[in-house]
Amino acid sequence: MRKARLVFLCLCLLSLLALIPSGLVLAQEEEVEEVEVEEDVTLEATYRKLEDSYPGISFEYEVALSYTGPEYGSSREFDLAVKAPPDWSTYITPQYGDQRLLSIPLKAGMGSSKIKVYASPPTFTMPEAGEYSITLDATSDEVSGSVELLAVITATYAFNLIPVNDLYSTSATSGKDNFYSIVIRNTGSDTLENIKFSSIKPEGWSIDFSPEQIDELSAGSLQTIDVNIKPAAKAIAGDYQITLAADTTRVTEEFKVRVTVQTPSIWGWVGIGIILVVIAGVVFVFMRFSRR
Amino acid sequence: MKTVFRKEMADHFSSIRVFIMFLLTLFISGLALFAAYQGIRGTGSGGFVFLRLFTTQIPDFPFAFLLIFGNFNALFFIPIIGIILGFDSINSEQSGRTLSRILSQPIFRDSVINGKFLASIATLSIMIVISVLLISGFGLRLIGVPPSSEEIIRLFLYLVLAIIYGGFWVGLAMLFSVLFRSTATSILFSLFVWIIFSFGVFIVALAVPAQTSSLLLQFSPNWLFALASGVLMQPQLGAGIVLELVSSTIQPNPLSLGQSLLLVWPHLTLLVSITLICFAISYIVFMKREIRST
Amino acid sequence: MSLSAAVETSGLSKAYDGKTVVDNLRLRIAEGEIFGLLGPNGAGKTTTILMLLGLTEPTSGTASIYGHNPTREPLQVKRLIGYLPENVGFYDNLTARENLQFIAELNGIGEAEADARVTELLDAVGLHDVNDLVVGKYSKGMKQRLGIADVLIKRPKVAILDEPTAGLDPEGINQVLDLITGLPEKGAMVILSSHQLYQVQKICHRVGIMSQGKLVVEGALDELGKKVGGGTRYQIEVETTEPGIRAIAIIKKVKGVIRVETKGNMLLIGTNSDLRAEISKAMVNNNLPLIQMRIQTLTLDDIYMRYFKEG
Repeated sequence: MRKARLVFLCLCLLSLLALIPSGLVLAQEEEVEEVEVEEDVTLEATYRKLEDSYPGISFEYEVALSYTGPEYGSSREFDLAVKAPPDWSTYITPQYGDQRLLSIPLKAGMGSSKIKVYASPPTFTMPEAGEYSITLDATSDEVSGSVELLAVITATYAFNLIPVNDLYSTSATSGKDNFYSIVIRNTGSDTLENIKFSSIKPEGWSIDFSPEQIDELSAGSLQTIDVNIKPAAKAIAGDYQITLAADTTRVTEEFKVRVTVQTPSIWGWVGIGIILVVIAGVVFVFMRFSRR
Repeated sequence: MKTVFRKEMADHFSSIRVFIMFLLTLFISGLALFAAYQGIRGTGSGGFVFLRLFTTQIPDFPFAFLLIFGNFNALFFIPIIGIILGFDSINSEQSGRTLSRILSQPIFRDSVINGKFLASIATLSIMIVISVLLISGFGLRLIGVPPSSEEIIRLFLYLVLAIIYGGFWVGLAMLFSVLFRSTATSILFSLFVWIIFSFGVFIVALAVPAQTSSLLLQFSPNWLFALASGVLMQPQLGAGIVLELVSSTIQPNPLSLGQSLLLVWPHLTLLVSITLICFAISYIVFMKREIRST
Repeated sequence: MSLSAAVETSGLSKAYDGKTVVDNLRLRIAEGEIFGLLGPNGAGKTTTILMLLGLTEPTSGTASIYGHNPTREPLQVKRLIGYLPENVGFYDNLTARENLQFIAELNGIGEAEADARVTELLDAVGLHDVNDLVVGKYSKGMKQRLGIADVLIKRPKVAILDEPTAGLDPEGINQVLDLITGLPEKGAMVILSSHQLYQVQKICHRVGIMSQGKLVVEGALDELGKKVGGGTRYQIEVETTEPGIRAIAIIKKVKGVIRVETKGNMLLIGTNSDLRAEISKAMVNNNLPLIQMRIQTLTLDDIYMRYFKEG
């Protein structure tokens, strides 16, 4: 008796559980049928405004496309086009994978498909700092949609400071002028102003730059600076290290140069002279005093 | 005396012994230059650059101090050269039976000992001067910085000091050569004293209280020479090396030449006096000595 | 100062640590003389020489070399004296020529003059062929001859030679003695200290014998012989089978015989002249058997030995 009751209860629960999904599906179907569906495509960027600074940058946007159409599950092919400022290079890839896309099939009512839009500003003739808009259009006959993506480029201030011909060592005569050249190149995206040169040097040395200062150096351009290294008059021959630096208010660059100090050859000759005198003296002493 | 001096000079400069010592001198100069070359190149221009040729050690080099001319090699080798030049000056004449023959010539007896002493000092001086000049010459070529006038004066004073220091050892060796008939005995005694003054005194000085030890050290010519040459050649070390100033945290200023001299003066006079005492004793003993033919 | 006493000492004494080595010595040596200073080892000969040179100060008394006092005027004295020490030494690392040149230089002799003298002397002592050899390679005899040259280089007025013939071979001895004999002609008097009595006798004009610091006897050789030999110059030895009082009496009757002694079969007869003929005649006349007869001049050896036997 009792057993029969328990089985009945279980059967009742099972039938209830079976009823729930079909009930939900039924509800959906009822909704779709109720709404008057227009054919449409929507594009939505996950992050639509990106910022980066120069150089070598590439803006990468993730865009979700979804298509709604009258017939559930019907597929439609959309052409994709990116409108970007002149000289920018753009391309589109799926979210995963690196195929370059020109179109994408979308199924009505089947959720969104994600793609990636890449946009790179030109490397040369650098775009100025500012906001650039990139538009992604998806069109299929009369159905079209678009999204505006924003690329904000901020100015970069950077430069290279290198010796001419990559010579990180030079030689100098103590107490004398010795010329050395360095090159400064603006690698940033904006004009550098008030570039000043400085050096870290051993005691008693003088290092002069010509020109002493650069007022303006436009982006991408370079300039050669003559450096006059004058070691201390009493600097001992040998290898020294100096540091040459250039700085603006924003950036500082420096590098180290090995300076081999040579001494004025006159003292070398005086030294040789002393040695010769000593040798002559020894020979004289031996000749003078020795018997044989 | 001039004749004896000349003959002794001729003896020195004809002997293999002195020739070998000359080679030793050259070798030491070479070592010093090597040290200077390794240790001094590219070290800037501050202070007494030229003097550093004589005092620089090679950084991170085992036993680097062995190569320094100014305060190690001079300290140790000048005595040896002095001893070698003096230890047999009188007793070799006695054992060679030439002394009575020489003394029967019309010369004063002290001419013999004076001439010998001066000839040894002269030989020693020539060696030291050659060594210093060689280092200077090669060093000048090496570092290319001419010595300032003060450095030249300091170097000259150092030379004088080294010669006096050498004179002490010549005098000492000569004293033993007067006192002992056997050359072996006199060289043994000389070397014994050399060891005492080079090492023994310092070991004893470490063992006794500071007051006693500084007094004790005043009688070691090695100590006097080391201090005086330190003040002359490394003025940047300041007065600290002599006066044992406590404030070691403060980098002392280089001493001026006048101050250096003032500081060195007592050491110099002490060194001169012990040298003279040494020579005077040998002089007196020699003058009083009965000259037998054997 | 008379010329006859070039070297003179009076009351010259030297004591070492209270032990008297030279005792109240009185010497007079005339110019041009070769004086032999004799005596056993330790008699004070070398000390005396050193005092004459001024190398040792006398304890008391004075010496005088041509009027100069060696203690007070050592340089003048040393200029006059050439001294050859016993076992003379030279600088072994120098040649004979250089050794001599050095001595010449010490004497203030000019270079050219020194060169000339050195060459001459090396010739004279027979070392010319080896003059450029270092003395270290010399034999004893060569060194000794070089020593003579060394003394002569300064042309001394007094040459003091201490054992100049020690260690020489007979030929060397003769050469050296010849050199010494020639010295007075060159204006040098010689003081010769030696044990070689035969040599001293051969070349010395006068000798002095020292013993224990004293000059026990001094004089010309024949004078000495007389003094020592009991006043006779000759000794005639006669061997006979009948020595005895009769024989002595017979011989004593011979004119000129000064004394007669017997010694075994020998008769020792002291005379001042050669009386062999007279003595043999007397013996034959008196029937004394004469086995053999020998005449002896007293040698320095005899004098010396006799002296020290008595002393």
